[in-house]
Amino acid sequence: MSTLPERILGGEEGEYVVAEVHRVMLHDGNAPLIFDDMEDEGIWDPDRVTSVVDHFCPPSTVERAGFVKKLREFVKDKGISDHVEFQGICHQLMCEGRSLPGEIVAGIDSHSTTYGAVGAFGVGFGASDTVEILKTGKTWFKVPETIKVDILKGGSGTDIALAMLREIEYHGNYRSLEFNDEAGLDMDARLTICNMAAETGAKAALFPPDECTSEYLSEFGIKQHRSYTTSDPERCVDVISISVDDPLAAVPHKPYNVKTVSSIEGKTIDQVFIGSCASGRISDLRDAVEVLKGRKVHPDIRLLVTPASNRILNEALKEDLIGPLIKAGAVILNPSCGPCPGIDKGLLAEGETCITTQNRNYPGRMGPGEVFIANSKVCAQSAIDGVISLPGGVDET
Amino acid sequence: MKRRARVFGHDITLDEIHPGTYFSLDSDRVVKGLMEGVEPGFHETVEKDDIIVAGRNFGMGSGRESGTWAMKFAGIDCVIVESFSRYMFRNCINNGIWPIEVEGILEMVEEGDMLEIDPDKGLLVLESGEEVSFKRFPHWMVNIIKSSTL
Repeated sequence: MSTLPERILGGEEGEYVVAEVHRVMLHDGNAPLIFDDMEDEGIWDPDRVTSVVDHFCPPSTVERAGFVKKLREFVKDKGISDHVEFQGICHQLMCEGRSLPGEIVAGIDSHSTTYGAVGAFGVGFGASDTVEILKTGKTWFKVPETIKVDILKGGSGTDIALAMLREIEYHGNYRSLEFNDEAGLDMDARLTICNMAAETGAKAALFPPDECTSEYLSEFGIKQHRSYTTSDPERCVDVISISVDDPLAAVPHKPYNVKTVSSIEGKTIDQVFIGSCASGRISDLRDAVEVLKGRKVHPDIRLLVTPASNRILNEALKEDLIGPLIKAGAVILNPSCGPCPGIDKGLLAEGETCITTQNRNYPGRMGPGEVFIANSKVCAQSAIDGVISLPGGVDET
Repeated sequence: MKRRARVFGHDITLDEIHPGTYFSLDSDRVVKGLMEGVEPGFHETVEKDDIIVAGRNFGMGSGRESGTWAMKFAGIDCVIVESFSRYMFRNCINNGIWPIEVEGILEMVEEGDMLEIDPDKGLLVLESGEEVSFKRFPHWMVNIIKSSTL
C-alpha cells in the first residue's frame, strides 16, 4: 500500500521524481527575486499562476513601491490574469477556491503547506526553484516520508497546532504530515494547523478531503473535486496523537517551545497581534470579540487585528465583529501580512514583548522584541489585562 | 586550498541568517543583513571563500532566498552543517553553494579552523588533518550547483 505523497508525486518514498504542478503562487515579498531571471522567459501556463500583493501592503517605502510596480508590470507582460492586490494574505486567498484536493500547488513561500487544509499538496519553494517551475510547469521532489497525526480532541486551531509542534518539534523536515481528524474540526482550524505545520519543517501537510472540505469548497462554487484515500498507516514513519486540554503558548524563540498559558500568566506585554496567515479568520475574530465585547484594551497595550482576507473582513462586518473591536480600542489593519514577517507595519521596539496568533516567534521575526504565540481568546484577554492571561478560566477556551 | 570556518550553533533560522528588514534588490544592502540576527557585524568580518559551519536545521523557517543571496554576494560557496531546512538546501543548490551535511560537525570544527573541502570526492579535511567523508551529490544536482543556475 502506498503513501499519499507517493501517489500525488508519483514515485516511491525517498526517490527523486519530477512532477508537474497544477498552480503557482507568487507574492510581492519574494517575487522581486525572480524578475531578472524571468526577463526573457515565457510562463508555461499563465492561467495557472496567482500573483498576490500582501507583504508590502500597501508599500511603506519607495523601494517597496517599486517592487509592487514591477510585479504589476511582470504580471501584465507575462499574461497572468489572476493578480490580487491588497485583498488578503496569499495563503488565505489560495484557499478561497484556488487550490483543490490532490493538486500540487507550489507557492513562493514557506507557509504554502496551508493548502493541505483543502487537501492540496501545498509546497513552498524559494525564488530560483519558482523560476524553473514558471518556465516548465514542473520541478524535482524527493518523495517524503509521512507522519500520521491523529487529532483526538478539539480546541482552537492554534492550540492543536501548538500541541502538534510540541510533539513533532522540527522533525517534520523533509517529511509530509497527514492528519486524521477525529475531533470534527472546522476549516478555519485546519487552515491554522496546516499553516503552522511549516514550523515542523514539513514539506506538505494534508487533511484528506471529507465532508468538511466539500462543504467549504462549495462556498466558492466548487461542486466537485477529487477524493483520495489515506496513506497506509503501516508505511508512516511515526504516528502521534494530539489532544488539547489547556490553552498553550509558544514562548521565545521557537514555535515548538510550548508551555501551558497558565504557566506563563502574568508576563508583561506591550503589543497584541491577532492576524497573519496562521489565523485572522472569522473564528479567530469571533473568539476575540467574545472576550473583548464591552471591555477595554489596557492603556499600556496596543492591539492590532488583521483579518486574513477581504472576504473575511466582509463577513466580520456582516456579523458585527469589527465595531466591538474598535470600541474596545483595537486597531484594525487591512488584510495583509502585517507585522508578522518583520517587514510591514506594527514592528516591536528593542525590549518589547508581543503575544500573537501568528506562526513564528524566531529571534528578530517581528523586530528585536520577544514574541509569544497563543490562541485568539488568550491574546484578547491579555490585551485587556496588559499581561499574558487566560480568559475566564481554562474551561472557556 | 585551506578555507576559514565561521561557526554557528544549532537551529539558526532564516530570520536570523537574514532578517526581513534587509530584504532588498540592492546587493550591498542584502549582504549587510548576512547573519545579522545571530552575529551583528558578521558582514564586516566575512571574507570570500569562508565556509559557514553550523548544527542542525540550518535555515529553518522562512524560504526567503535573499538569505542565500547574501551568502553568495559575500563570496560563500560552501556551507557545512548537521542538517538543512528544505528551503535552504534547495536555495543553496540553485545559487551554486555546496550544501554539505556532516553528522556531528560542531564537535569537529571550531571558529577560525582552516578546512579543505572537495565536494566532488565527498571529502572534508579538518584543521587537525583528519579526513571526514560525506555523501556525494547526485550527478544532476552537481550540474545545477556548478552551473549556479537552473
